[in-house]
Amino acid sequence: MSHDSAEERFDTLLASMHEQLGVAVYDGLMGGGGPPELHDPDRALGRLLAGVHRQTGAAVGQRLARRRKKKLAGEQPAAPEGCGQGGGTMLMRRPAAVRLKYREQALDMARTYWPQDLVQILRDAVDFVQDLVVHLEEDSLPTGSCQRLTQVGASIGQVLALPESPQFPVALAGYDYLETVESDLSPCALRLMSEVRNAQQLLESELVPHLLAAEVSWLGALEVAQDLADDLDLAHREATALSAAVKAVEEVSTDFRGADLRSVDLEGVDLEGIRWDAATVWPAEWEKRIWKASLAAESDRGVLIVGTEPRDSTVPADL
Amino acid sequence: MEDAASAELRVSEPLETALPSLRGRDLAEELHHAEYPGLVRFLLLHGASWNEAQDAAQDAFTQMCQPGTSISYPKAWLRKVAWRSWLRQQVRPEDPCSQVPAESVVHWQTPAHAAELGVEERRVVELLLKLPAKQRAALAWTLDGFTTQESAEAMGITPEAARQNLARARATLKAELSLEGFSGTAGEEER
Repeated sequence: MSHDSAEERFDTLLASMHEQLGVAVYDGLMGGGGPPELHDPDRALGRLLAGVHRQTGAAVGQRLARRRKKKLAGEQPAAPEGCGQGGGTMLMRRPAAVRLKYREQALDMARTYWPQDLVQILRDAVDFVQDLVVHLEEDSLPTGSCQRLTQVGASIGQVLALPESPQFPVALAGYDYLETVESDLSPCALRLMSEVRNAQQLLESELVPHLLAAEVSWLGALEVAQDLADDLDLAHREATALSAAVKAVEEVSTDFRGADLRSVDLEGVDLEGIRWDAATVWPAEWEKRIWKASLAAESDRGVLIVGTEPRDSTVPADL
Repeated sequence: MEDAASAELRVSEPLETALPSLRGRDLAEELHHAEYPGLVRFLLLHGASWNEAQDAAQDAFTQMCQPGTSISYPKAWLRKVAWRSWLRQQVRPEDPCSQVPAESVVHWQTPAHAAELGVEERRVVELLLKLPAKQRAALAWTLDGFTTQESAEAMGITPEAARQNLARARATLKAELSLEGFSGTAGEEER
């Protein structure tokens, strides 16, 4: 390794350490309710005194009690959050407390990037153009093809309504969870829009004029239609990739099996649809309420899903 | 050789330009949410524990709110004040119980034990925390994007001394990390 590449490797390692530490600090702070409230000096003394009094009293007692409890129970260290859930994404590695805190915004963002089934729209467009190619090979044009092509153009044009610029302002510290969510979705959306623009351009500026000409050049129209089918196929692949990214965001915002959520303030957090299991640890004051509001998942044994309203019936004991 | 030029790292422009002096309280409100995590990280790299770093960061913002405070370089100011606050904690009689919050999302006190970091990155932190205090400080300022001129001013040393500390820190880390291309002779000279 040359001196320059060693320097480069070293600087990369330092920068990576700096960034990862920044993410860990950000998640640690936000997962615990964010930075402490800003205090005026006048109020700081009162805060300090109250803090010392509270911590020396309650915290010591709690800590000792917890230790005793752990000793008695022979508690094993909890498995890392997200283990065995097949997530594998960087988002799944963010603490469950952070994922839960920003759940609603993350799901809103996923909906913004996936307002409807874009894969199906593009699949229909590909099927139609491939069908058209078959007809053009036989020097024929089904009735209403031009009108149908215009509809296809309008239909795939819906993709272009996806966000082109970030929906959330970039945090100065640069470790914002929602920023990470968006960085997973945005590139896929931009690539999809670029492919759709190419296809739309080809459709509106070349294929439709070819087919509307007084004397249709079958060979020319066939070539353009084949190019269009290829472009639409690429767009379909990008839509599938975006769909997978959206699903991953939904998954990390929904799957809280085995997560330790004791430190999260659940007040005002929309819990509907969250999947959890017996290993999930809820804040003590919420546990009963959440058990009441949950139903057993039909497909996954041992998994519960939080519903809208507390129910009177109980969850089966074998969970 | 690990000279002054390479010790400048990637930053060639000063991180902060002088603002017209702003009221501390206004600045604190504007910067609190965005700068707080960076400030905690800065202190962790100096060797502070998670709880110490949070205390010192909060103290810096509290001091920023003091009536009559006006600041032109808020990011450097915050780091300098937080660092001093952390140093003061070191000489204060310690009450370990008052430092332990009831519940915390992080399960570590020093980033050298942070499972969130990759293996290599954790090793870098571990080695960095073993460096002498001034070298750690020089590296922490530089990693936060400050020039050696700025960090020297903040640390109250000459730019030459800041560069030397940074160069030594980098040389030691590279040697410890066994990165090829490291010039042993250069390391000798630095020492």
